[in-house]
Amino acid sequence: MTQRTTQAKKNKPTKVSTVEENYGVKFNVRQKNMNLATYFEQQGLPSLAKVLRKTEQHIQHS
Amino acid sequence: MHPNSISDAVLAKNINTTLQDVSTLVNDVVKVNTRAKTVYYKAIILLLASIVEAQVYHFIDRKCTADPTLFAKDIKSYKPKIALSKAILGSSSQFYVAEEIATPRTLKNITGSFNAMNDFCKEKSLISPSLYTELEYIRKKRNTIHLQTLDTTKRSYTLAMASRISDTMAKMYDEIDAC
Repeated sequence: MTQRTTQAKKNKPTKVSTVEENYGVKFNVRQKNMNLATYFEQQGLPSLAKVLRKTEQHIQHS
Repeated sequence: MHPNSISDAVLAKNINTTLQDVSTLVNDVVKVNTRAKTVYYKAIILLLASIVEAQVYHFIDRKCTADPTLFAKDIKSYKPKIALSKAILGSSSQFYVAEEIATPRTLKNITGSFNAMNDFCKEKSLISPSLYTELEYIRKKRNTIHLQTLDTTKRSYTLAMASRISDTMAKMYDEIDAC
């Protein structure tokens, strides 16, 4: 049963879009749809939020 | 920039992915006790330092038109040219007359030397003295995590350290964008 479950998981196509989907991490955020930059700000890392926004701009402009 | 340099977009994607990795650790750090927190911050600091090192590399790459030499001393290697007779030398080992080849220690040739890149930026006045101090702080903090430099297991890593590294990361991004 365990082997079958593992195999089924391996064959399941992975859709990559958000951290929650990538890692299965449930974020400790109150508001729904909070983006990662805002999350970093909440966790006391505002500079990481700034860097993250910059990377998003660079990716979008490429 | 050189033909084989990575683009701003590729760097941005790599940083973005690593920050997603960091976010999973940040998410978990609030759930654990103080002693366990230092383990999470240790991993966070290592990931953040790797981003800053990549930023410094990219910054030098963008600032310098040619592949810059980071060290005055060349890398020496030897190419065998003529095999000497074992019989004449009376040796069982083979000896050669070799040509000495000197390869300059450029940015591309010695990837991974955070120290050399920081020193280069300082020497060429590419960054301010305060930014150099912060980059060296990150390098040294990262090196304390490397096992070969550890002299004790009693080390603590904190949110304040991660935050300080993040501030420098944001400054480095401004420097890259200003190139």
